[in-house]
Amino acid sequence: MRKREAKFGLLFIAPWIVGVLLFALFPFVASFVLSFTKYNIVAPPEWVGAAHYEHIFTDDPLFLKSLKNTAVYVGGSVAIRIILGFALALLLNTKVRLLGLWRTLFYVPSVVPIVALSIVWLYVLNARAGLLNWFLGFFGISRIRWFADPDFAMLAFLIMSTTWVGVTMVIFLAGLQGIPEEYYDAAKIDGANMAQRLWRVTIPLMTPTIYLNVLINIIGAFQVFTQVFIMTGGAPRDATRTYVLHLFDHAFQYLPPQMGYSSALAWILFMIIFAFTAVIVASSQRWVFYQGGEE
Amino acid sequence: MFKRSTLLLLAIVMLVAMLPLSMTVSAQNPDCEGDVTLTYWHHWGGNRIPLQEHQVAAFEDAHPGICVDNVFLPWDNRLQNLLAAIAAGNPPDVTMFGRQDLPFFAATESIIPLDDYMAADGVDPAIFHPSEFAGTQFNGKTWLLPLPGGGAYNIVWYNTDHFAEAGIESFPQTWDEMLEAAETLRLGDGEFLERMGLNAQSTSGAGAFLTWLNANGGDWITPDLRTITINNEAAAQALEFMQAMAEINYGIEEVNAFWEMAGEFDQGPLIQGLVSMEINGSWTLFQVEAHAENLNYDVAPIPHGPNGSADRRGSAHGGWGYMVPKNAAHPDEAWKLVKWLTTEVEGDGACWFIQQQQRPSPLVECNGYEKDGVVHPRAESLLGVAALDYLVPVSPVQPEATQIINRMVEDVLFGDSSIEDALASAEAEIQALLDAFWEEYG
Amino acid sequence: MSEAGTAITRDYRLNDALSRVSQIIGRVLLYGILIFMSLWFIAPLFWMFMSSFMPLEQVGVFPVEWIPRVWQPENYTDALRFWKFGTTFRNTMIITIFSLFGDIGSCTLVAYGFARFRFPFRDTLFLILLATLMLPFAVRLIPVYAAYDAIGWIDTFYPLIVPNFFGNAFYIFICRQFFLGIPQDLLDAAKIDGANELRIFTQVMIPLAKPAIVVIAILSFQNSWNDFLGPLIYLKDPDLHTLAIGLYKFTSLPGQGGIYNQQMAASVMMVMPVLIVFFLFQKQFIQGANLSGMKG
Repeated sequence: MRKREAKFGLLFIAPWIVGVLLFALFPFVASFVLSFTKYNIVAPPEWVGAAHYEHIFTDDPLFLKSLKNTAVYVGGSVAIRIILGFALALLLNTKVRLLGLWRTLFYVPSVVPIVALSIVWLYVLNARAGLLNWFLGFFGISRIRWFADPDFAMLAFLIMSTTWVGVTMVIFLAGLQGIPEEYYDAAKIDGANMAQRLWRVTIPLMTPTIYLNVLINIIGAFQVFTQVFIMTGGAPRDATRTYVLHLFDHAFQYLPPQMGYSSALAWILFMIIFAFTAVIVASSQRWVFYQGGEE
Repeated sequence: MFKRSTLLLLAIVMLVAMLPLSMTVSAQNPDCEGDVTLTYWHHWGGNRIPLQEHQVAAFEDAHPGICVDNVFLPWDNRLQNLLAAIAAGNPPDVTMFGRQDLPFFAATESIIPLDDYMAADGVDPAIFHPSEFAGTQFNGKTWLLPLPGGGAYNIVWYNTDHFAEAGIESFPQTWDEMLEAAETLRLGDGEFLERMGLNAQSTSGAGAFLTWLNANGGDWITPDLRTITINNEAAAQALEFMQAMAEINYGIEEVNAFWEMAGEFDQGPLIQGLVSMEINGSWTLFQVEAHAENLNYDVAPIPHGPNGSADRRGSAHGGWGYMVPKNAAHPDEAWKLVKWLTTEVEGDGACWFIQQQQRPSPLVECNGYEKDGVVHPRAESLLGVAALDYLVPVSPVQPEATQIINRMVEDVLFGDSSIEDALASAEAEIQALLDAFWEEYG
Repeated sequence: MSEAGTAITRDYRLNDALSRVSQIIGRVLLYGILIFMSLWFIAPLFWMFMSSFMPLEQVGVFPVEWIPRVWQPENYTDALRFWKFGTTFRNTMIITIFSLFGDIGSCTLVAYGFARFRFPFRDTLFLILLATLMLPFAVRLIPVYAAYDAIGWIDTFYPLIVPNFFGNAFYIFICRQFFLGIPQDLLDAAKIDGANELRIFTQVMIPLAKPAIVVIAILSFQNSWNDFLGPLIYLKDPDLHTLAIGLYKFTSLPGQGGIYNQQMAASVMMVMPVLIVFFLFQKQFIQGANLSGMKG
């Protein structure tokens, strides 16, 4: 019986096992091997040892620059999504009228395909006739040359990233609605004011959700590509050249194509994401509290 | 909810729907009967699609037994698509191809040299303009035949009404005069532009810096394509000129911000009146004719720099051609199609295709801005400008080299680097790429 | 609002009035913020819609204008001259539908395997499944591209469809959680009736898992419909292009670069189907978002 059960179990998960071998393990290993070769698609890969890694760390200023840009995007966009998302969820959790309407309005932009969003936001952020400059004009802020000014170009992408705040907001809202009313009642009896209740009750109970959202958003933000590719291609002055764009250029834009070099860049990105994830997971024991003490 | 019959039905629907997945819809002429079907890739979109179809049909009529599968491909990712197809062993028989991309493809022998075919069919290189044919050569062999082309890639198109209003009587001949005119023509409040005299960042083909360097008599790379030579006085003057022009236009950031929404082609800044002078190719003629009948304009060669001369002003850089990839299924028939697309004068081929668009041709015989027997009134001045063209060579590492050069220009224009340092480091950077290329493929 | 909390303030009239004032201010502030944020989120989309009907010269004016001076529905027909909407729509539908069936089929199977059977290394394998979520697409990009190239799958829909038949880690996770919540009694009853494992799966589990399947379907639909990088590198023939690529090419097509009103019209055409699906299945969309943020 036991054996039969195992047989069926493995049979059911067989598609995934094949998939993980083909679409995860094979590319994972292959890109590691390729990162030690020169590969131009036309000719077979040629072994070059650690030359790419050496070049990346000693002689590729765009590596550092794109990494720095990406770090700014990761920090900024994750902060925006978590903080703004949490704040909006708190507002909607105060027994507002028309909850469904607000939730829908906040969520709609995040279902819009990113290509269309990019095209629209090119106009929102246009220096001469854009919506954002028009809006800022009411506060006496003179026109900002978003994508022509290296100091503002990445900020422009961060502003655009508010588009997806609705997703995190909806998640937080569901979490907040799941907090039993008794916790708040108990806190009120203890004389806790609103800020104290937020800090002592809401946030600790929400830490598992915050933790997972930080993790997911960081992994996603490190890989930002499409909107940058469509909207600026890295301009101005490489101020928006993100890590994945840099990697993409080496593989698909330059001649001869540098698939090996690009693989090395990809592996470094993997290590960075892995390190971040590991640190967050390890630190989670200190700041993530699970109800009832179980997982 | 899922009955067995439903599942079965779904499976059948999926299988049936799978069928069209493997089929590509193509523009193959259903009337054509032949033993050989050539696959032909090109990038002539928009109103040129019917011209392409007509040209290919004329080829099929003239070559019984050969049919052509005529595939229009977008411009983006074309190289990566082509490399993938060549590596996978199913490339097209004939493809349109950028001359700027030739060195890598030729060095890896991913395409077939055409010299033997040319000799066998008596195609004499002298039927092409020399500067056009020069771009088809690598390692002493001919890898593609040119089309379109015919020079006049970088001409100054200028709004004569703006010039009259500003009281400028003759078109500038030198860079100093050009700067002066641009400043007079510019409109704005000191911080934001309303109209630009000239955007020195926007030229066609070679990239702005190489265009100005050429007009200043400088060569950026030696003819053997092994040494970069931009760390010199001529290059420094070109950068100084670009810097001065950007300052006239309130700085590089305002130039780029202004240009973001200036539009292109049919809605380009010249047509909209957002610039008084624009550097662009001969194709601008048709956009002006089609979309701005009332625009009063004229053309002139690019003024030359302090180090330059009056007979070297415009620059040809790259351009198109047609080639036969390695592993093509029918190379002999493919050559016939290449010949039709690039050298045919009698039938509706090379000459006809270009004349329908009233563009210049790389073929000396067809280079007349002529359509249906009528020569365009501006033909003479355009051909006069084209005579001052000079071929700017293409390096084997062009896409990355172009990025490095653009970065160098920005370093200077944003004031982050001195002209000397910027030139020296860009030269070293491109040289390192070139050395690596030649070490591998030389 | 608990009884105990309000009871404390009930005796103090002044405090009562003050708290009522501050409550009103709070409410005004609250709705002010909500309205402002709604405008922030909706304005770009509203402007996209309005400018798609504007004459070209109105799109670039400053200060921004919101209502078309002349309504120009021909922007849409003009955009369609250069954009084979029908073809790209059909291609996107093919990819989306096949991927959807692939995802649902494979993910429910695999999730059921993880949820209901004991077999060696099950928990290790499940951890590996979660770990694959962390693998950046950039690492997979090149080897997978080279492999598809080698087997001649470039310029076909296969690279965009076939992987979905081998399970998506995240959808498997959602489904497994759902299966774990189904009472064992139901299965035992079926077993006593003599049903085999496959019958139990298709006839008992699948119908019960309908809510989870709808969520997976929505996520899968969104994923395929919006995918940009995949079609960008795998599909070159314009007859195979998807809506996302069609729209992107349309804006970068020679001669289309400056025609902003038509670009907006094209964008509206691409966005509309997604918005319609969103408004039809709003609950499931939000449920899907929730599940994606609540794993673990």
